[in-house]
Amino acid sequence: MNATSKMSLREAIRIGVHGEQTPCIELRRIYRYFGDTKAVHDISFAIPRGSVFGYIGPNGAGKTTSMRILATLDLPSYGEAFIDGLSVINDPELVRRRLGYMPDSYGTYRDVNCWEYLDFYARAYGVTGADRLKRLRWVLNFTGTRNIAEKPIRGLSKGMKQRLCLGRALIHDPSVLILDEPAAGLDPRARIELRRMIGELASQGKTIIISSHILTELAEMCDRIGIIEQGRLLATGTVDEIQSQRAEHRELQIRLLSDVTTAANLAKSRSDVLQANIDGDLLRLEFSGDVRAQADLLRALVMAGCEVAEVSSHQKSLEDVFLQVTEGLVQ
Amino acid sequence: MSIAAKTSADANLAVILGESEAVPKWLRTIDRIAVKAGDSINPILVKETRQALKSRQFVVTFSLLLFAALAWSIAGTLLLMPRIYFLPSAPTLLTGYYIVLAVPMLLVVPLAAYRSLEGEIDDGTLELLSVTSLSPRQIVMGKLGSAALQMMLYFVALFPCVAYAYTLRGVDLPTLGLLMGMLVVAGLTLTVIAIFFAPMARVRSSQVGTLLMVMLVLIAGEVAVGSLAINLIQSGNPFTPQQTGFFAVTALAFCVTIAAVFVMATAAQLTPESENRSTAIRVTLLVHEVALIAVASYSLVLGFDVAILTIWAVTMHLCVMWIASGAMMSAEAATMTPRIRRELPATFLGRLFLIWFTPGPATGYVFAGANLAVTLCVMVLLFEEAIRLPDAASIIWPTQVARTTLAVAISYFFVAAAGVRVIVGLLRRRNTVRVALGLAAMAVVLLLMSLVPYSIGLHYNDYRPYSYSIRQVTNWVWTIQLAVRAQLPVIEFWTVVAMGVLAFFGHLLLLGRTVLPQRLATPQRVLEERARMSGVELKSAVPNDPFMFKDEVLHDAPPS
Repeated sequence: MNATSKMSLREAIRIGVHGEQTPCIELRRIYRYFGDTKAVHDISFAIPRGSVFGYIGPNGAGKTTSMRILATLDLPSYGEAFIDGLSVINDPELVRRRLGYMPDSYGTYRDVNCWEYLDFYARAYGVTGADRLKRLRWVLNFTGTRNIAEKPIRGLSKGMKQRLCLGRALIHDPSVLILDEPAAGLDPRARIELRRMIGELASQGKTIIISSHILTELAEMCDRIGIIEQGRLLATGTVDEIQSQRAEHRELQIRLLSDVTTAANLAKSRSDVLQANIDGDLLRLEFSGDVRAQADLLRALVMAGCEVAEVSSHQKSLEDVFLQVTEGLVQ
Repeated sequence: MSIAAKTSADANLAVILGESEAVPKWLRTIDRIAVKAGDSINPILVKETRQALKSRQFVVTFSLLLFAALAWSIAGTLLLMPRIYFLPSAPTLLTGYYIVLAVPMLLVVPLAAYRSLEGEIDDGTLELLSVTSLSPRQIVMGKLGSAALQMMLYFVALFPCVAYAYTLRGVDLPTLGLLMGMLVVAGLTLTVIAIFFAPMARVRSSQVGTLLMVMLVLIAGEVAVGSLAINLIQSGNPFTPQQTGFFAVTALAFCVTIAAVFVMATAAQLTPESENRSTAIRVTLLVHEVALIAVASYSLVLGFDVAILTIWAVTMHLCVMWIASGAMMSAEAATMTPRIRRELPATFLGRLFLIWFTPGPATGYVFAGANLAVTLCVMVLLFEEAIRLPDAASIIWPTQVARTTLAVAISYFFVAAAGVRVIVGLLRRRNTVRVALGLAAMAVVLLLMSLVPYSIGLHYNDYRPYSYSIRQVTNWVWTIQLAVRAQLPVIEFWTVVAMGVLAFFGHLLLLGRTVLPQRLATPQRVLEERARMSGVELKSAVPNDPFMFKDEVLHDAPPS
């Protein structure tokens, strides 16, 4: 499948046959309190069909709790959540059929080998007869676990267990995947493999919600992200949207041939310069203005007689945005 | 792994996955049929069987069983020499075989079933099962099925030994059948009870408590069934065939219906709060009650001794059951989730008769109270019938006393259950309360109702014995004691009844919140999904599910 057809398939699935963007996953004002602990507080977001949504937040932010609510494993204290228009609270059995869930723990059995494990879950999801064998074959091939199919689970490496657990989540061909920290503890190769598999699943049109601490990977994989801290959703949107929303504090680096101090004083007098630091012949500015304001600043510097040799602007990475948005607070 | 071994493993996997062309056609047909048959089996049973048969616990138990049976066959036979040739020797050998079989069937298998479900909770696999299509009831039944299968294997393994013992004479075939039947039924019932305890404790400290409780129940069961079985083997069956049949049917009815109650209760513990966890339990409790009342009614045919014993046992059991379950039902959450409201009866008659099966403390209070009242009324009637039997002994307990005691007992139940509702209702305002707390609340209420007035009376009488008065009217222990002895004064009797009536009707006035909620219509989206799942064609011009399009057949542009 070439890139164009991949895109058109994904786009078509996202748009849906009714020609409108219907959210596949929707959380409406979800609250989850455990006594005085506000694990999730007023979270709402919608994920379009066929997108990959990255859920970012520090430990204890409420990612797992909200994912568990979506996976029908927990009930919110207040609010509603829907998958494909079906309430996860009132119709969990209908939701489960189209949901693949991979928690942060493996959840494997002793005295069972890999294909028996997958076969059991296929049966548990009601996949029967020839369909079951077909799905087993597909999952074993897709996750690369075919050569360990007859090995007992307890002897598997972490990476292999993770693949097997992804296989379990995929065994009934769900349209929605909830992956809670799937890359945790994996070596770089296994992580790359996982990223490839998730990319492939996304290209098949599955809606994926994934939480991870490896933000660079999420930025590459996800169409949309949500940043959560202390149970509150701080930002949500596409990676570009969030980056541009939070880009008001860009860093400008201006190399000057002379009068660095004059330039710094001039810059400090402007309201769009939040901070100015001199580093040799380099003037580092924390700048909140847009491109036009940036041009205006440069013109002002030149008019003041400063010899500007080089200007560079740094767009903040997802990690920078994450650090900026969150305060590192845990409950 | 050598290349040859790897190739062999690949070929094996290809056969398992149905990819191998080397398998003959007829074998593939058999395989297809077997796969189809396997699909109708509970997946938990399939998994548990695969897992259990490979587990160290099974291998060790099975080996020990075989070894013990072989050892006893040799040792027992040698011990009985030479009289084994001319005297009936089956009872001695059978006693040994019974012990060898009873340990795995009444102890090991139920404990393994308990550990299996507890392990699922501990390892987080129960959560993974919860998000599959399996219902909590299927999970419980799967565990039970696996236990039954293991029991069958142990039983089959020991069968030749039992047959050998039978050939030595001294135990007849019906007694042998009764013995084995008793063992299987008791083993399964104990397994169900053990499984029931598994989801009760989710933290390590309380798991120790539940494990101890399970051990206690299993050992008590082992001792009770063991003493009965050994008596049966050694002394033979003391009952007439008719009595034997009656006791066998009674025991079977009791075990099957109580096991159903425990299965539903276990499944309820695994069911999310938003779903209806109560109706199935109430139905099985009712079935249990009806079965036991039927048995008690039939006991009149067998004469006074059997009848009075059965009526007394059934009354005591059902009273305890309805008081305990009434306490737990009164502790249920009053919240009616949309899911439950969708299932409310829609018609007037349905609402009139079936509303009592819907979850909630108000309906639970009435349901348990009404059933306790019905049970006691029927039992009093049966008792009155029993004392009119030709072989009835001289009765020192007049029927009037039975009626008075009945009225007093029911009244106290309504008062105490109302107290439970109040306590749990207050606790629920700030905490998450489990229904088991209702039992504790009931114990506290009953204790306070009797101890407080008694202590006050004792204090005002300078800690000297004093006589019953109206001030002791909440003291149910003393009041019931006087009612049984036909010494309860009339005013106190009517006061107690008035308290009960007040609690009941006062409660009825508060029932509105439960009875008034109207049934909610099932959303269209849910109906569509159910229709899709059951294979019914949707009358829709365009498919609702975009994933119906496979591969690259989708158009580049969305349909207009």
